[in-house]
Amino acid sequence: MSDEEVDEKPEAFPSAEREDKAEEEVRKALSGLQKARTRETFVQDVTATIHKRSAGRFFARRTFGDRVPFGALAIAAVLGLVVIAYLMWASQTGSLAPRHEATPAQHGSALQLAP
Amino acid sequence: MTELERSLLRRLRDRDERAFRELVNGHRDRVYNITYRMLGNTAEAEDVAQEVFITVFKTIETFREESKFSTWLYRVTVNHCKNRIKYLARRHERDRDELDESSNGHNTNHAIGGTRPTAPDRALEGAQMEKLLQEAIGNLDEEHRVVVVLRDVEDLSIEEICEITGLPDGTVKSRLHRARLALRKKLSRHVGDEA
Repeated sequence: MSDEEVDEKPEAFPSAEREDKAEEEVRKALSGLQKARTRETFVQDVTATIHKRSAGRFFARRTFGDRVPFGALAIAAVLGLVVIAYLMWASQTGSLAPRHEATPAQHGSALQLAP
Repeated sequence: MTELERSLLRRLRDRDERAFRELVNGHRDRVYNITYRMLGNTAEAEDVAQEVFITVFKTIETFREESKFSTWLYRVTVNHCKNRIKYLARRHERDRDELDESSNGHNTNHAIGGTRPTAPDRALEGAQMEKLLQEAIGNLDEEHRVVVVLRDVEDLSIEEICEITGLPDGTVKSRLHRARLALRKKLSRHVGDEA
């Protein structure tokens, strides 16, 4: 008998009907089973296993940007720029150093010559 | 497949550890639930679930994106479970042989589950039913166990089960039908014993 035949005339197939009911009961019981959950450390455990088995070669080497958070990198970069700017400003020869106009030599003043 | 999944796959192929963690986090409970229901033992289930993710990561290049990623993942899971069931059956037989030799004919009881509680109250009933069901699933043969776990426990569609197992539609349905009837028979026997 086909499923279509049973669906059309269920009363004509009492055993099929009984089977359907039994199946439905089992299906309900199975779908009501609790969902098993892994322990919290599962992800770390799997990753550690991979590291151990491959002696650290399995995962690609992480780039510097992956290991250090972007925020920390940005702060370090800004601080670096501030320090460079300060050095350029404070240095006598730095391009940011304030320029003092040389005072013109006055009449009668002694000319200082190097010995 | 969503753009997010594609990006995750790209990163997995680049062997990105963070992508791997994301993958495991997203699928760990579902994979573990399948392994647990297939094997009926938490330690074995966890071990197999770990192996599943390691295999997925190792063989991610072989995934050709013709099916859903989850379908491929569950196929790997089912294959690992089948292998473990075979391995455990072989080990169980070897252990039994060794035990038979050492006990030299003494009566040994290998029944799973032991004694059943005699006065089940309402709270215990659920847990007991769960145990009975798990035992009944464990007593099914491997091919029936797979379809019943995927369909009735995991609620996957028949089409997905066909893709995962590589079986035709009719075979999946008939196995499912036989598995449910076998479970029903086993459960009614238990319930009948208690009454």
